Amino acid sequence: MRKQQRSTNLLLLGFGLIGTFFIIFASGWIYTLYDSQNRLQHILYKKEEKMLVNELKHILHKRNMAVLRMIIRKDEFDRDDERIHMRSLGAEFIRIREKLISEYFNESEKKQWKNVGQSAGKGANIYYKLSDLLADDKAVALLFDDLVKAQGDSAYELNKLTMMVDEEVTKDLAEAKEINIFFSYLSGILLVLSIISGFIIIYYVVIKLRHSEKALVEYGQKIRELYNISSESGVDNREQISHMLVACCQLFNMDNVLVVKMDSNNSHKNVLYEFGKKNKLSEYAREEIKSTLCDFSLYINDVIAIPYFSKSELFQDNCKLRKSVNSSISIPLRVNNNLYGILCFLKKETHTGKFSSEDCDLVKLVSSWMGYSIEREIYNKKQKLLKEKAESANVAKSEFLGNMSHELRTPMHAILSYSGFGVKRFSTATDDKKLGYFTRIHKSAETLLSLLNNILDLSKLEANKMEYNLKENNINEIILEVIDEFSAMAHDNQIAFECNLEEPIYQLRFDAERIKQVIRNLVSNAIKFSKKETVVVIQGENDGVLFVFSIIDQGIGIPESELIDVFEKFKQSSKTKTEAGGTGLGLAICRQIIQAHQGKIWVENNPAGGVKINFTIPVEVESNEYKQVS
Amino acid sequence: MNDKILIVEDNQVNLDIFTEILEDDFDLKIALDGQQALDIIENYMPDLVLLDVMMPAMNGYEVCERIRGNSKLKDITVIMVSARAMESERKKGLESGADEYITKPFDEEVLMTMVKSYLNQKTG
Repeated sequence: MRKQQRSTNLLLLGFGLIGTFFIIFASGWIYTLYDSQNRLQHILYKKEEKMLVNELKHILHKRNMAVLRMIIRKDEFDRDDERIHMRSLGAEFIRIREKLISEYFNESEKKQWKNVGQSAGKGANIYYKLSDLLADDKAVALLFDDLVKAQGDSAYELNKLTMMVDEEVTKDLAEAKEINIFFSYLSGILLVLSIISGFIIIYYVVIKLRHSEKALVEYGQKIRELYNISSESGVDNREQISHMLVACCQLFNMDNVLVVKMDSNNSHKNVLYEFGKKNKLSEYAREEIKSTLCDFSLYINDVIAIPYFSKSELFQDNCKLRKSVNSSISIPLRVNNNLYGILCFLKKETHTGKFSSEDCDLVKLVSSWMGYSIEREIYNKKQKLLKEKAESANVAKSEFLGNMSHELRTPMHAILSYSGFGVKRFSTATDDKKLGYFTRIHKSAETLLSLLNNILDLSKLEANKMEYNLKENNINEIILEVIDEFSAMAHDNQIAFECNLEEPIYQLRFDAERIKQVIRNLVSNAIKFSKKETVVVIQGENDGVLFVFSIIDQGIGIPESELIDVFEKFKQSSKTKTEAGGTGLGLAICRQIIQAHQGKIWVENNPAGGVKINFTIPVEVESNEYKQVS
Repeated sequence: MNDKILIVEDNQVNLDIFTEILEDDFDLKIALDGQQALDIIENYMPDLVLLDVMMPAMNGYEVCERIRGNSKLKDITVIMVSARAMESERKKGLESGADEYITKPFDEEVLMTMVKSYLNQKTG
């Protein structure tokens, strides 16, 4: 910008000079013209004057001739003719004399005319005396001598007058000539100067235009190249960004490029992209650039071009950095109009000349494009994540439906089979057998109902519509009831229970049915996944702040990576998923119920094999945290 | 002498159903899990195996593959019985080496007919 302004100023100065020269030239030329005209007019005027003076001389001469003729003529009539002629000449003389005095003579010429007048007057007197003394030849001869002398004097004085006029004309001409020459030379010089200035300016303008055109063409090529990269299709976004950075590095003739990402507090910075034409930056250089240059760039919030680090206040004292980097151009990077990080182009050597305004504009363009690309990348990542989540949810749903189908079919199979047996063997089966059939049908129907209830609970969980009936209850009684419920199942699976329950000192407020559901689920799982002839240990402790329930089995355990996921809906341990079925809802429901009681539930692996599942319920529960039935 | 059938099933209810249907016509042996089944099968050498799929520790697919991988056992008829009714699971069962895959709930007579048919094929 400054360079442009300087160029404009130079051009203006140049044109100003030419203009000044032309004005001076034009002024001189106009003045010369005016002066020449005046002088010419004066010269013409003086020439007229000279003509009139010559006319006077001629009249005097004619009068002299007339006098001579008058002297020579003997006849009186002839003399009268000459007298008349002399009178008319005298009158003409006077007329011209008056004209000269009134219109032409200056002061010195008027003074000179007095001399002419005196001598002319003498001549005239002599003439009159001559005409009276014609008879006296001697007197005539003497008078004639005097007349000739007087005429001579008149002629001399008239000549002097003529010379004066001539001198003045000559002087005027000389002065006019001098002034003309001076102004001609001056005008010539000024014209030459103007032409030279003009040529210089034209040359300068042409050179500038050519440079501008060349810069424009180069700029256009750079933009085109960047456009080609940016419009590459079917290329991974990160790859495209890398291509762009590499291309920009080459376009700006820089050695390294860094894209530094800021965290949300704008404190911690990470290098997102780094490219080095020859080598990557040293660790020190990278850290210095991340801290000093990036902070400064963010502070200025615009392009910062430093062609010479040695002359920059930021880096001139940092000799260690200047071993790796000596020039840079950087700009803050924005994504979705929020500050994202910084884009820095770096070079080991100092930059050749200063960075042009086109370079700065190009960096802004690249920064803008990078912002969009990163935005797109973030969007693509989000979309990919959402897609993966959706796919995962879909897979989980398919697995759930598969498991659901299995779980529903199993009790249905028992119901249909035993009812079929009842129908087919009604007449032949014993009562015990029939009882057995009905018992199995009933049990399976209950299992089916339980499954359906779980599904209903799931829908309530998802709609956040589970309701709790909080009352003071004896937790140990609940635990023992559940153990009793499952004693037969445990026996069938050759599992023994070991109960370690502290006597309840502090009463707990909880929803008995829901907590029973949780304990039932945990005990059922423990039996299902325990190895035969093992013990399931159940513990309950109450320290006045928290009630802690634990159930420990010696079953197949859960992989460490799945200890948290098993509480998610539709998620099951990879060990149990393929082997013992289940819907993946039980633990999710348990967690929801325990969390609703402001408690925690978690699982850990038992070093002896199997798992230990724990949950806590606070002794003091804020009732307004729940949806209460009563 | 009756044909020998090995029933591999972890669920007692289902075991009772199999027993109810088959005990009068066949010699039955029970295995409660896959490993137990493999332990029994070489000594017992059943004519047919009714194999559940969803079992702890070792599922039915793996048991079937191991049976087929054993030169002594590879010709034993294996019928997979499962509550998993999806086509992909049926395909997986057949690919693991099962001769047949039936889903629960099944009809008593259908099971009986199928078992007798496979056993007759073997002897016939």
